[in-house]
Amino acid sequence: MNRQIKIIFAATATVALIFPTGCSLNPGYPVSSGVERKMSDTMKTSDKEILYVYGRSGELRSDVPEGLYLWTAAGDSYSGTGWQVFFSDEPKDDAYLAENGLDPLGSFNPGWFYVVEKVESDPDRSIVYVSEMPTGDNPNVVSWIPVTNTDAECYLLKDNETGVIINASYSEAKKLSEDNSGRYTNLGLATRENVVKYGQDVSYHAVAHDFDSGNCAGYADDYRGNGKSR
Amino acid sequence: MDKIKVNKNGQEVEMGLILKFQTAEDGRTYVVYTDNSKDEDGKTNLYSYYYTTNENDLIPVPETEMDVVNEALKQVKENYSANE
Repeated sequence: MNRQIKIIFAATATVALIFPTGCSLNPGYPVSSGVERKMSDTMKTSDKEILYVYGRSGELRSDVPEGLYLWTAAGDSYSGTGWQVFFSDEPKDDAYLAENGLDPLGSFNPGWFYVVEKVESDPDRSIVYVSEMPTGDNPNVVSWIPVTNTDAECYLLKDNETGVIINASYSEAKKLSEDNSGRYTNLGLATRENVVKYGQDVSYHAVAHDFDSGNCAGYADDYRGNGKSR
Repeated sequence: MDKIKVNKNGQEVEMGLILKFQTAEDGRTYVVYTDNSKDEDGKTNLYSYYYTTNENDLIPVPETEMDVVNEALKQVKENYSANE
């Protein structure tokens, strides 16, 4: 039977990841509640909770509010070196980024983000969790990450040999699993719950992304360490 | 809703949206969620619902009507494979 079906939304990476192992389709359990995002609450706390993400052009918008600026350094994300996300209390130009071995944001669209959670209070380089700014018609749509980007979701993988839990994009997770049969266990999307659940062991990466959806906005490495992203 | 909480065997469990689609013939909107749990065969459990007409309530899709959800999943898989 062929029906006309219009796909409105598909978490492509998730669907793709579960197909190899198969899926079991069931009628849903009774719904007790929807989960509200925390963006609006964060918004109310302070104007400084709004961040601007730099685009590759490095252009700053004139309407950037006073506050913290989020910007990133793009590693070779698709071969696995990941993204680094920083914020600063002042804009940084491309020269500063270059001096520090950093590049402006790559494929992500520049835009405004809410700070969902700050892990560190270091004013220069800190780890933040961000969520998308609800500038579109539907604030729950992650419009700034192409839904076809299979690296748009983060997964937690446990290295069964070392016990270390790492954060990996879809392609990283897939490659690690394929190259090291049986070594890694997929603990699921790097949702807030999962990170909290396994958080004490997440030593390889801190994560900066939308925990509500599991979508990656990038990785935030703790630069207090050796100064290298990985 | 990209996240819902459900009562799964007496426990409140959060599930994430992985698929939302609409059928042309009746305009009904369906959604598929997962809590990333596995069944006894290691397959990821997916749970499907459809919206009531006012989109306020999610109704579990009965097993007798599950073929439309399977079709949508198949379509996503095919699209993904074609684009990979």
